[in-house]
Amino acid sequence: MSTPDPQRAADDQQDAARVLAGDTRAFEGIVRRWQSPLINLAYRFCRDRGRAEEMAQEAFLRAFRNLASWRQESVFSTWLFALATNLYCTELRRLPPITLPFDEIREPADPRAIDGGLEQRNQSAAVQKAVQSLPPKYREVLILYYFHEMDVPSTARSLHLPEGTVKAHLFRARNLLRGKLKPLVEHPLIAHRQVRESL
Amino acid sequence: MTHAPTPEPMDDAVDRLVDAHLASASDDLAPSSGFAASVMDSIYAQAIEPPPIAFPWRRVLPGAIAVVCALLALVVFVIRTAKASPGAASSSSAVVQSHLALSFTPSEVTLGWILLAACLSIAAIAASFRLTGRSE
Repeated sequence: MSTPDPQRAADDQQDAARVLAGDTRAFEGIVRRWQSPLINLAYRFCRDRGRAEEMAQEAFLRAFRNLASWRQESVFSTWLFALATNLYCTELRRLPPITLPFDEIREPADPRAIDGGLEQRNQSAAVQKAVQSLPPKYREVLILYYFHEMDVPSTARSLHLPEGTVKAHLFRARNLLRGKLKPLVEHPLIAHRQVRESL
Repeated sequence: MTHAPTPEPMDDAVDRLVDAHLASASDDLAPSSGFAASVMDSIYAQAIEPPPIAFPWRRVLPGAIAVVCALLALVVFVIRTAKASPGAASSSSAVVQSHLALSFTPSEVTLGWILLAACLSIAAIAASFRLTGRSE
């Protein structure tokens, strides 16, 4: 995701030119190439498959409507991800995702079997819950950073932010996550129960 | 010279946990089978839709500028009058009323207001018919 494929970039440019010339069918090539990344990016924001597809569909529609505004200074995928990210952030601020209740996180069948950590699923749910509870500006940077395979310049381009700001937000996001997740790493079972009881 | 704080081992453990869960490709989703077709249906529907009617700024702008200028002139007129005779007029409407009363009889003033309101109504209706392209 962080390094654009030259062949894909050329195909995108060709398809975009055809669409702008009036051949709407050429947009299907763009949809087929980018449907999976756009759905996965949306899923990272909302953690809901159905909603992720709806958001990705809206992103494609918006890309189609605004294709003429792609100035070709950057590769098509950079423009598309920036457009989709902007849409997803707006959408998520309007309708925040439903966070997974801790009741749905299963406790280990045998607590004595735990050796230094939670079960994979519980850990994942706890991390996701902690990420969703971050302030939007940190959460968005963190999600984009991992989506772009930990590439700061790509993250900055997608969010239209300076790289320094992205690094500062990442630093702050990590600090906040450390505070939220440290009890789960130190005493996984106790922390898990405490969180369940507090809800 | 400042040094970056050394992360504690527990911080490293949390960072590894976050990296492992957020960077993993385990939640990669394949699009549902009809997704691309559904998107293209929406695109085709969008493509055949007539373009949205642009707001008629060129027609509206002269009228809007005229209204703003008239309002500004009225404000300036009221302020000047209030400054010239501060005791006589305590509010802007009173200032206007007093000036009209000097030039016209009360029945003429009333008739003038009615005519002004009627003219504005006719102008608004005519403008709306013109903007929507109807001639009747």
